[in-house]
Amino acid sequence: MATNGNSTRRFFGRRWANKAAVLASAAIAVILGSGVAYAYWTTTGSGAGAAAAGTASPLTIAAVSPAQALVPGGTSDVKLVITNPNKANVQVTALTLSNTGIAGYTDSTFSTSQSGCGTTGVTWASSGLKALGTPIVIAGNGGSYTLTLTGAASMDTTSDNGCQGATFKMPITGVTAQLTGATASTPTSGTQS
Amino acid sequence: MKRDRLVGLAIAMAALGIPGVAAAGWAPTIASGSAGAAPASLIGTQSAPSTSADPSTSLQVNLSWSPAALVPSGPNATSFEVLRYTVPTGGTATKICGSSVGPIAVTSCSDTTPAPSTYYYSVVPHFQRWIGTESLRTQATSVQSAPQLRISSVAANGGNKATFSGVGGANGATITVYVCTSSGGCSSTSQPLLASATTTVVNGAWTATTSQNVNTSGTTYYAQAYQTSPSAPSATSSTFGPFHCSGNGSNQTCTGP
Repeated sequence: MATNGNSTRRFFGRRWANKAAVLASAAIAVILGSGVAYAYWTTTGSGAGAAAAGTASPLTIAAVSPAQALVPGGTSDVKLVITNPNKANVQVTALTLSNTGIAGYTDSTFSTSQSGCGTTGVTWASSGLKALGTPIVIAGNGGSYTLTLTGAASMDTTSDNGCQGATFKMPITGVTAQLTGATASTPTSGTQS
Repeated sequence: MKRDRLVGLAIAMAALGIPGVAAAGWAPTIASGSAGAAPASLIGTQSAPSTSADPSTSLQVNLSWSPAALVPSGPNATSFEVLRYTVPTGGTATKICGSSVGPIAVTSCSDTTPAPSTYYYSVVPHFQRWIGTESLRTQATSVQSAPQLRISSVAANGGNKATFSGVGGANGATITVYVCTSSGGCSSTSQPLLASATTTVVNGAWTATTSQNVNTSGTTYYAQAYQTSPSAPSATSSTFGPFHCSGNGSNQTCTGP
């Protein structure tokens, strides 16, 4: 009996420990999972509001001048480089494009305003949430992706004479993205309409 | 038991979004001030216009030019200001070829208003509200006075009308001869206006036959010629006459001064 009793305690003791481990893991998953779900569903927001959803570092976006250029009454491409500072890969499925704050500059770093370009006549051809036709996956640890949005910028005929040769800042105020285990997109550049 | 541990661990990894697990992870945002770039074109270099080959034979200067293109890629300029100077550099520009309030949407025009002098021309390209850099000026373009307009003679045309021969006026210009009975001169408003004749200057000379009969016996006729197109600068002959025309058909005769 003593032997049987010890065996029984050891048996129940291991089973309890295993069960406890499983339950603990599940509980953690449930607790954190709720956070993940919160984060996932609030990613279309912009700025600090979305940052509160999790601890992932913000993606950075740098402007790059495309080969094409705007003319009054026409459209042209918008080019940008998205960099992912997180350890994990990031999948981007949409960008939020804003017409607020579009302005002309003398350079693509937007450091000096272009004089005489008060009325730019420039807008996003289609502002608001811009879903990417093909989601892109950006590698972690500083990986980047160069994205060209074809025909995304539009210039009407009110553009001031002083806007000739300017580089326009096309604000992007939000991103729909999530950390992912998916393989990073290759090549690391692409064009989407 | 190991299976239970693995199941729990997998659930936890999935929830945490650890790479290698196809599940949603933390959602990154973007840095504030993020933006893409869209550069604008600019109007490229506008070439100077070319002028008519031999402007010295005419009071009219013909100009044409190739439109500047927008760079780095884009359409051509669509409208232009054409400027005239009396000096090769500096000086004051006179806008020609078109209204004073806007550019013209063509790539050629004629300056029909210059007084005899030496001129320099340039073109400023436009595209919508954009204005390009003014072209270089042309080489000197001389505009000389047209030869004095003069009626040389009158003859019967054998059909009861009068044919005038004359010289002067700008090549290609339209000349109109008015016939009246006033020694002080004739014009379109002469009373009575007996006849008129219209023709074109070719190589500095012209002939014009009246549309109306000029054969009334005993009438003392006078005539005066005008350059009617282009109307500026004006060119008017002195009064020709007196002369007389009479007879019918092949018997008609005219005797001049």
